[in-house]
Amino acid sequence: MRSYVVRRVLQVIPVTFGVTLLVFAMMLLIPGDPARAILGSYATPENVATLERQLALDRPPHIQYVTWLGNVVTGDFGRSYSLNRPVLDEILERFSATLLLAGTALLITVLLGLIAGIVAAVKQHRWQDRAFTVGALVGLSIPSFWLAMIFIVVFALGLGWFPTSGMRPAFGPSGPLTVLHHLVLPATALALVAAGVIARLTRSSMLEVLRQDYVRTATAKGITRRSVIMRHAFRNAVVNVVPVIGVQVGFLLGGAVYVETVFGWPGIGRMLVTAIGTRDILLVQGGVLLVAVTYVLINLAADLVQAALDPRIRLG
Amino acid sequence: MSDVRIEPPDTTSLLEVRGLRTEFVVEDEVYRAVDGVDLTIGPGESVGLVGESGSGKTVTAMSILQLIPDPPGRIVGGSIEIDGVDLVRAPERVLRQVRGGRIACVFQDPLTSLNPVLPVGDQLTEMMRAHQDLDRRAARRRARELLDAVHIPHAERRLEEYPHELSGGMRQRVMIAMALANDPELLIADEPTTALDVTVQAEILDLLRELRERTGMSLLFITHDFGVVAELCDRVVVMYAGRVVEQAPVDKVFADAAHPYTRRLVDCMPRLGEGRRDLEVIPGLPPALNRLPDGCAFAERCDVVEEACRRGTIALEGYGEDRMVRCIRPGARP
Repeated sequence: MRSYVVRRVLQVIPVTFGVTLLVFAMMLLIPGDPARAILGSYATPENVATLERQLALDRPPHIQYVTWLGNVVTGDFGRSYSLNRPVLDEILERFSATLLLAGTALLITVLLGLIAGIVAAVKQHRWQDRAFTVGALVGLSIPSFWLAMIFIVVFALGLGWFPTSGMRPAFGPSGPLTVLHHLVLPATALALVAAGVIARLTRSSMLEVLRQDYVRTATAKGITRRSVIMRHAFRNAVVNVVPVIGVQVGFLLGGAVYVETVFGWPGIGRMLVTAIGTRDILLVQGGVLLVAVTYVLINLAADLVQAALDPRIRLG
Repeated sequence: MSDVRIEPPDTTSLLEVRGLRTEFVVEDEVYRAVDGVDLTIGPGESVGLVGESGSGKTVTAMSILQLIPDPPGRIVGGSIEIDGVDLVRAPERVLRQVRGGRIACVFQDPLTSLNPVLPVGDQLTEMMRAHQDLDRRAARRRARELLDAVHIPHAERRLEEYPHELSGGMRQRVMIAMALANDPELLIADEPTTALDVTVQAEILDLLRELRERTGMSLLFITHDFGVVAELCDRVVVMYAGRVVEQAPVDKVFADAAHPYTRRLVDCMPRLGEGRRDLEVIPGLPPALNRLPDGCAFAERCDVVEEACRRGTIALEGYGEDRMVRCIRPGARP
C-alpha cells in the first residue's frame, strides 16, 4: 500500500505544474486588454502603457509566468485590482462558500446515487428498477442551471418553502439552520445530474457483481440477504464507483458556476464569472488554480480510497 | 413455521430429493435442466453425481440449497427434505440455518468463488459467526485450526492474505476449510478439482477423503470423471439430459453398467495397466433441453437402440437388488 500511495502522490506534482501552466496561458489567450478594461475606453495610450508597466504586463510571458508562479508558491497570489484586496483572501472566502455548496451536493449525489443504484440492481426488472432508471436518466439529462430556475419557480416563488437566493454565514447570528435552508435548493439542483451518473454506474456495477460466483458462495454460507448484498456485492461494486465519484466532483465544481449565478450564492464560481468580465487576471488565475488543485487532490483521494478498498490495486 | 412439515426422523437418509424439477426460462423458451430427479443420501454416505456438461448435475446440486439464480431459473416441482424439512418450501430463515450449517458447498473455481476484496480469514470467520455464537477472537482461533486441518502452512499469516495471493490449490483448501467451519452433515462438492492442476487435483481428493473419514460427514460429489468417483464414492448416480438414468453401488457400475450411457461413460475412462488402446468417445451431443424427445433422451446416441426406445415415457425402475435404471433394455450389449 505504501509504495502505491507514494507513487500516486508523486503523480500530483507534474499534474499540478501542468495546471499552473494552463491557468496562466489561458489568460494570455483570451481576447481583451486588462489595462484598458481597468482604465475604461477613454484612457489615453500613455496611461494604458503606464499601468501595463505597473502590472508587469509589458514583460515577456515566460518572465510573467515565472514571477507569478514564484509568488504563488510562497502564498502570494497578488492583489485584485477590481476588488482592491489580496486575491488569496478573496478566493479563500469565496471558495469556502463553494465548498459548502459542492460538498453538500456531493453528499446528496453519493447517498442518492448509491442507494438508487443498489435498489435498482437488487430489484432488477421490477418497478423500483424502472423508477430509478428513468429517474436517473431524467436527472442526468437536465442541465443544472435550468433545474435551478425551475426549483426557484416551484419551491421558492410558488410554494414559498425556501428562499430564492443568497446565503448566510454558517456561524453568524442567523445560525446553521438558516444556512441549511438556503442550501437545500442550490445543492439539490447541483447534485441531481451527478447523482444520475452515479446511480446508473452503481446499478450496472452491482448487476455485474451479483452474477459472480463469490456472491453465490456468500449466499451458501447462510448469511442474511442484506449481508450478501452489502458486504459482498456492494463492497466489490463500489470499487468501480469511487473513481467516478472523484470525477463527478469536477462536474460539481464546474456546475457550481451556473448554480451560484442563478441562486446568487457568493461562491468562487460567481466570483470567476465577474472577474473574467472585468479582466481581473490575478483573481481569475488564483481562483481557477484553487479549483483545479482541489479537483486534482479529490481525485487523488478517490484513487487512494479505491486502493484501500481493493487489495488487487494496492498490491498489484 | 407453519409451512414447514415436521415428520418423524428417517433413520436411513439424511437428504431426500424427490421429483425435483428445475427450469430456466430464456427468451420465452423453457429449458428443463432438471426433470424429475430423485436422489437420496444417507448419513456418512458418499454419492457421486456423474454426467456430461449440461446433464443437470450442477443445477441439481445448486437446487438443494436454493442457489439457482431467479430469474432465469426456478424450481417448479418436487421436494428436497432434510429431517422432514422441505427446503423448496422453507422460509428464508430456515434455509439460512441449513446453508453453511448442515449443508456446505465447495464450488468449481476457487478463485472466482472467494470474495476478492476480503481477507481469507474474514471470509472464514463470517461463515462461523453466521451459525455459531463465537466472539471475534474465538472465531479467529477456530479459523486457524481449520486452515491447519486442510494442511495450509503458516495459517496465522494466511488469514491476513487475499485470495489472489494464494495458489489455486491453496484457494480450494480455503474453500474446503470454510465449508467445514460448522461441521456440516453434508458436503456438496461441485467439480472441486476441475479448475486445478492435475497434481493439485490428487491432493484435493486425498484431502476430501481424509476429512470425510475424520468427520463422518456425507458427501455429494459432482463430476464428469468416473475415475474420481471410483476413488471417493460409495454410490453413483448418473444423469443424462436432466434425468437420472442409473444409480448403483460404485463397484457394480464398473463391473456391469446397466444403462448403455453409463457403460459408454465407463468405457471412456482410461484404466491403469490395460495397455495401449484408443480411448472411447460417445458420438453425438445430448439433446437440447428445450426440445427433449419422446422416450429415451439418449436414444439418438445409443448403440443398442430399438424402436420402442423412442416412444412414451421410460421410468426409472429397480434393477437387481440395489440398483435403479431408466432403460427398457438394461444391460444390453451391441
